[in-house]
Amino acid sequence: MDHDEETWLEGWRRGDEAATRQIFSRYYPRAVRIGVLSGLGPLDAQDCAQDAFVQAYERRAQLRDPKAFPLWCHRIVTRRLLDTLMAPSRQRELASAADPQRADPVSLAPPADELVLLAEEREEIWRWVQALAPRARTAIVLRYYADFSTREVANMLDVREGAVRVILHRAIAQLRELAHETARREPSGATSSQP
Amino acid sequence: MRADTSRDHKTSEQMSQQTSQEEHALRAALRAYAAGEVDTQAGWEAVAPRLTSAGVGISTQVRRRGPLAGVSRGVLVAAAVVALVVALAGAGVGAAYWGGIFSGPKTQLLLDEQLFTTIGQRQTVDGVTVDIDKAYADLGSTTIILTITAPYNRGGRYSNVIANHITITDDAGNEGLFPGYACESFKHDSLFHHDSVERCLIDTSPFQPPAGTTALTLHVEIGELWLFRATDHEREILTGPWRFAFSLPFHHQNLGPAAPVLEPATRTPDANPATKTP
Repeated sequence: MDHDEETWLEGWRRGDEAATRQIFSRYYPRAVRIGVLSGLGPLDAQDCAQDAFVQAYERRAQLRDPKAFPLWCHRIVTRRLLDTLMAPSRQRELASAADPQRADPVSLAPPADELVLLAEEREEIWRWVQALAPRARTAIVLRYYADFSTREVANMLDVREGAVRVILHRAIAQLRELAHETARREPSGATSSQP
Repeated sequence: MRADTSRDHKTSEQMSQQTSQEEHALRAALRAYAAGEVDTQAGWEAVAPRLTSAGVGISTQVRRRGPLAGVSRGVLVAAAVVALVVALAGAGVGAAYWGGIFSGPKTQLLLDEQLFTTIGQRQTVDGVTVDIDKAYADLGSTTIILTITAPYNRGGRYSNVIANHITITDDAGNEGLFPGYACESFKHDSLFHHDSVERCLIDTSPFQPPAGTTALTLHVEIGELWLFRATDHEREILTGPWRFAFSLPFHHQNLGPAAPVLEPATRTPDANPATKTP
């Protein structure tokens, strides 16, 4: 956390508009992206991130150490995200979205420096990740996109660190299994996902 | 995450290397998928009024912009409005007009009291259908509920649709000003339908028919539909127009505007392109 952010957080705690806006600008995009990666539609992800930010604002008196803000804020985002993902209506939407008959998978447009994988490979991995259970998917996103440690992910998911390791291990195993299934269906290896 | 069927015979070092490769691939895929721009400005405009209601001094004087502006950013603002109102949505696609954009007090009252007039007009242009479902007019505003339907193989590529260049006029040529506009995002639900459906609500300034008039004839024209995906701004612009003309009872009472579409952040009292003829 840099000095500017510490200053903004002090302002945010006082309810200063400019500081609050700075904090919002810094954390909102990432929260939206975490939501999208975890399986929400873009609008739902924005909604979720906005709700979380409002909630954080309302509870800011509970934050004693501003340095703890990033983890604390993402914890609120994660809770809101999981509430949305686990809602019964959402489960139905996800089931629909995972429908293999669903037409026209979205095309991705990564920046040039992210062209490590072919687009087909990324889409395949993306589909596999979306096939995970919501909690496992969120854990994967927090760990491998947001780069939180397993301890931090445990804090956000409100479970023990060991449990997170198990969740991640099983999720990776499931992804691996999905890769095997795909390879069996397409023995030519046309969709191999090795970097 | 390479599908290597010889995994059972690997040494622990090989497995560790494989895991590292898998994690690398996973990171790359996730980062690529998260590469789309997030419109922080639109997000802030949606959040700032809520922070005000949280009781502290965040100004609501956010920059107001037309949700229907004919530029990409304007479309994204509209998307943020959609995000805001969709926050209230609890109903699925089967629950036609409850929750979400239809949860404002006036709209709910109109639905409860069955004051809407069923219009049931449909226009299809370039495969995308607009249905004017219901409408209501009084001294407070004119409210129109419509449904936009895109074929599954097309709508499935986009997250929502924004109507652009909306004009609403009466028989005398008076134009409804500043139409507030909000939609729920595209719904894809194999249980109910495979097509992509978005339900929208337009609320415009009231028309002033002569005293004693009991009916109002409206001409609604939608110049463009912008199918777009918020994550990477990919969009497809369909040029209409979708034109409708219908009559409905005029209620000589003032129930006010049909919130939530006329929230301050969604109104644009000046130079809203949506009020202009395309």
